[in-house]
Amino acid sequence: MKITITHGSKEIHGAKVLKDVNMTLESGAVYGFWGKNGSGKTMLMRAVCGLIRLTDGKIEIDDIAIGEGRDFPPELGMLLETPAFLPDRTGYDNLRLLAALRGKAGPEEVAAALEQVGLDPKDRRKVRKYSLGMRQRLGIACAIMESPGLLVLDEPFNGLDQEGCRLIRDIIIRHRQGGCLILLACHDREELETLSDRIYRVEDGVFTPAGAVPASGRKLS
Amino acid sequence: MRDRKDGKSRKSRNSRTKKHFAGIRLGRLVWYDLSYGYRSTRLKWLGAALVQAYFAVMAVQGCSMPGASGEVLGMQAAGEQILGVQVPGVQAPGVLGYLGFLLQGMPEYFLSETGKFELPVPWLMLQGYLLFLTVSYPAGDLARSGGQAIVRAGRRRDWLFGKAVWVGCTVAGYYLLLTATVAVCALATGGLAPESGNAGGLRIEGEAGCPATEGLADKSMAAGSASTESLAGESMAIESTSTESLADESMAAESTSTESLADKSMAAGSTSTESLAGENMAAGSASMESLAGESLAAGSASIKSPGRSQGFLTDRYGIDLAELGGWEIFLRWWGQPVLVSLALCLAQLVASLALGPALSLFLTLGYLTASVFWASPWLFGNFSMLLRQDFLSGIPEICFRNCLFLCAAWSVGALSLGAVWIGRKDLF
Repeated sequence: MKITITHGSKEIHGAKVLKDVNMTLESGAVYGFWGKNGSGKTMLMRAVCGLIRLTDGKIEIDDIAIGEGRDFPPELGMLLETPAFLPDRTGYDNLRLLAALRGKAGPEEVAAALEQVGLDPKDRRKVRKYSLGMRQRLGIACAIMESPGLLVLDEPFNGLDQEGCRLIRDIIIRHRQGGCLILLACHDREELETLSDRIYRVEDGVFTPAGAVPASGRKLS
Repeated sequence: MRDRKDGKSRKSRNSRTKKHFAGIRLGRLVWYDLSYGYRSTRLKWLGAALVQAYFAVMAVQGCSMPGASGEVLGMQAAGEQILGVQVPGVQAPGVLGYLGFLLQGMPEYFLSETGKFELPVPWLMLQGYLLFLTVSYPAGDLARSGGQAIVRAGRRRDWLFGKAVWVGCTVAGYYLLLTATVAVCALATGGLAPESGNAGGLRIEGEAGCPATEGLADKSMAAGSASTESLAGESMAIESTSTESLADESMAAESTSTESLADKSMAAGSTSTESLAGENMAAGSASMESLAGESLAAGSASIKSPGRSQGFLTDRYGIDLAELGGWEIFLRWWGQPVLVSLALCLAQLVASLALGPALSLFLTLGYLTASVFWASPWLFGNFSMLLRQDFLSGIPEICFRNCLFLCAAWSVGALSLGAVWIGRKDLF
């Protein structure tokens, strides 16, 4: 999978939140976005996911433009904000309901995804009884359960303990090795430097490459 | 040549495959919405059942006609016991009667100093609750799942299509529930479409002031007439002196003598009744000539054939069901309310995505309430009010054809607008 962003700009109520973004993203790599709150990281991720439309420019995935040839990227797994699941169902039931939409993930895949994030698929607790960290893990499980080709994670480490952070790191590394294209936004620079193949510094909607940081040892173009 | 043929067949195979997978994806989306939507609105459905039960009981009470006496028959006695409602020996309204009561709305309103305005509460509450039932899920799915559902739908307008199907199923389910609730009440108070009561000792009086509607080309209602000659509708009995053998449905009243009635008859205050062929109503006359077909009579001197729900609807609203075919009854009592609700709920669906659930509910309820005040086909609520129908109100524009056309156009227009809007909107 290849994502090409060409002169991408977004204006909301007169304010430019994305300014002339240009980048090419390839499979098998982790792209980190680092910046303050409100700098534009999440906005770009939303645009890549097809949830918002750019004011100018375009985003192409394998040469097909979002908003023209297709509405959303294929094989997308995303965690943009903690989703609010059905509170009176278990985590497993919630994921099964969403997985039924694409039909790609069956009961085994859903259970495996829950185990990867440290949740018990057989846990009969309802989501309303989950802590913030558990909901975050459930959101990540939702993103990875269908073996996505594009994984978009916005602040995945929020609310997680040390063990949870370790699990998420393992998930990111495993998916990158499997050829997944990963977009990772995080305010922890150290975490980004550990995981990312390339980091972009984001400030007032401007994305600047902060130098190639080949965590995998690969040099990116 | 062979390559070209291969190329063409490959293209058509690819296109068929794409359509096949698109169909499967849509099917999954619809299934998701039905499951998720139902789970999200379970409490509201419980509320719907309670609201409908409440108004069904109100319909039972409201449909008890005053001034009647006589023994309570069969299921009516059971109904009285179960519901604690006095249903003293009058013709049971049946499903159509109760449904008619709930969805009657009100006649065309004319502002006057002396006139009294009564808001048609059952109609407004039942229609309004359905709007409330359907307003929150579509917008809530978008907000709640954080986009997880819509990105898995594949296309934005497919997601909207799934919501529209959910709205349609909810509307259908709501009216099925209403019909079932009303049917339970009808069974408890005389049957779904009850037969007339037994002869002997049963005194049935027509409602005081029961309107005499003359000059109706098809339906006829006799009012306080000394004799009724050939009447072509159903009959309601009033006081008659005696009743002799009744071949089919009959309700005996005080009558001196009634000769053989071929079909249904109700003896009323008459001295003699000659042969009645078909359903007949004997009028309050010394002699009754041959009645060919169904007949209606009213007034204290008339003999009427009794208590089917048709008689109830005739007395109450002047509706002669004999004049309406089975298909038309279905369309008026069920079809039009369902079409109106569907159109309003689909428009509300689109509005809720743009304006939010609260504001869209407010606007749609406001539009529905406006129908109470103005009898216009452009206010769709009129099509779901029984009393505003063309055959009752004399407003020819409020007919099924206009209802179908306007509701279909409105629904298609709303969904088309919604598809364009959802295609361009920033979802978060």
